[in-house]
Amino acid sequence: MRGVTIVGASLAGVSVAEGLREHGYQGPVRLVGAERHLPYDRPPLSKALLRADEPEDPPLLRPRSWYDDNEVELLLGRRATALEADRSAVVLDDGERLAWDHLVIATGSRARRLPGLDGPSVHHLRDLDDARRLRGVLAEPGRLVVLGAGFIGLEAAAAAAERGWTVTVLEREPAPLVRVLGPQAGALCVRTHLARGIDLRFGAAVAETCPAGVRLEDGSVVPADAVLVGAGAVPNTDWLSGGGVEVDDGVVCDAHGRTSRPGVWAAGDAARWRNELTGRHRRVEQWTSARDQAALAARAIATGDAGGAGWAGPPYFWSDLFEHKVQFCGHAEPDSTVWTAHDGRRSLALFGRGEQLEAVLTVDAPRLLGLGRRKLAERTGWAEAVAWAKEAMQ
Amino acid sequence: MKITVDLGRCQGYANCVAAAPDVFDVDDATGKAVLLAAEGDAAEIREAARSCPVAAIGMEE
Ligand SMILES: Cc1cc2nc3c(=O)[nH]c(=O)nc-3n(C[C@H](O)[C@H](O)[C@H](O)COP(=O)(O)OP(=O)(O)OC[C@H]3O[C@@H](n4cnc5c(N)ncnc54)[C@H](O)[C@@H]3O)c2cc1C
Ligand code: SF4
Repeated sequence: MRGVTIVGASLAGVSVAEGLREHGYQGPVRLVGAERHLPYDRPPLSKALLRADEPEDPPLLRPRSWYDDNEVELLLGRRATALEADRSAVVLDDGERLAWDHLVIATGSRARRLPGLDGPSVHHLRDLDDARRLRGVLAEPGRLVVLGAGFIGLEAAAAAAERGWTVTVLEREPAPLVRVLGPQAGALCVRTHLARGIDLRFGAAVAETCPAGVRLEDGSVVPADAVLVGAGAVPNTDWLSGGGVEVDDGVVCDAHGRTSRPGVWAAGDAARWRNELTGRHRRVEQWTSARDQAALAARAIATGDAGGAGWAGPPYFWSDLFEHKVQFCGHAEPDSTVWTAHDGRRSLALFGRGEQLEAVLTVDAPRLLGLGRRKLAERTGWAEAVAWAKEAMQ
Repeated sequence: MKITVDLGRCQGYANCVAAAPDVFDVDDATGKAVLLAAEGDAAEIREAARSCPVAAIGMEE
């Protein structure tokens, strides 16, 4: 028995290993990861870890002993460089070839690099090494320019402002958080950024780094001691080229994690699953989705049964911005109908399409998010959802 | 069944509310989880415990 080889030792990969053992899988389980660190949790990298008073290490996903206790073989600091699906094997960077009965692709995503933006003052924020480097730079106050008003950029902007930095956020789109929330609702999330003096500029097209900071396409220069590029993420699927699985903005999967190739599965940021609740077939870069997908794939592999309900939970995401908790559940589109309310403390936004509720956003209202998530799962109609929201925000 | 929430760890992510809405709630004022019931659907509660990003939920069956 060749067992299960999992490539990518982070949230999705570790969750697959855990799910396999929980479902009684007895064969060998191998977890191959390019990073040399024991698998850790990524969300704190742009939150707690950037603060001066927090420990420099993010929480481990599992203690070292867990891997031994569960007979999960860890191959850390090793990168898969090629898939040979016809031979049921993956090749590692040192030339070793691992054969498998099942392969799980869990290689996640990496920070998008922008042309013209490089040099020693330019940072990205994806892994522990990136976060430690940025944390070190933040120790001495200065001027930070964040490119991109997405969640990671806004979290880092908040952390830097709390550490005394002067922060400018430059965003090409006309509003913050457009990619996830569409054009209308992001404003609810950046109230505190504005109140704390962070300079948020929209419609700002950045051309390149220059000695003084960054130069915009209109020629103007924004001075900076450090630049953080928060321009989204791209899936780590390059190593699969020619390997025999279909890749199209992530490894294409059904609602159970099966790829185009029998015996090959994928989960997490690197995968594009079909969601049975929303009907969408999109890649999501969210903690909960990575975990849910991994659990489903593991169960299917261990039990040999990919029947039953597939991935049907509404995608869910949270973010911490200053002392505020932002939570979002579902799928919004640029042209969704949006209903928003703010009561001085809490914010709630609903997103709808036709007669259907399709997403819920809350700021500092976790209870409403929990209830809203339930409404999504129950496929609540738009009118009923708005009536609920109005009452809830009174 | 014994369900516990370590409020020192809890960060109010409400993953538990989504997983087991009859058992967990989150207080909007404190931002911490609240137990609504001493027991409930074991599979849902196990899912809540597993989906908590800070592993604040304990369960003994
Ligand atoms: C700074 C930051 C903050 C975030 N905050 C939130 C948040 O608040 N809420 C939320 O819901 N989500 C958040 N996310 C997203 C969440 O962390 C991801 O969705 C999750 O980590 C995805 O897990 P994954 O295992 O699929 O991929 P990843 O965590 O990206 O892990 C993939 C692993 O595979 C390894 N790898 C890549 N290629 C190879 C190869 N060829 N061979 C071997 N190993 C390889 C990588 O080194 C990496 O360790 C955040 C992400 C980041 C970066
Ligand atoms: S999921 Fe965990 S952190 Fe979140 S509210 Fe529940 S117990 Fe607290």
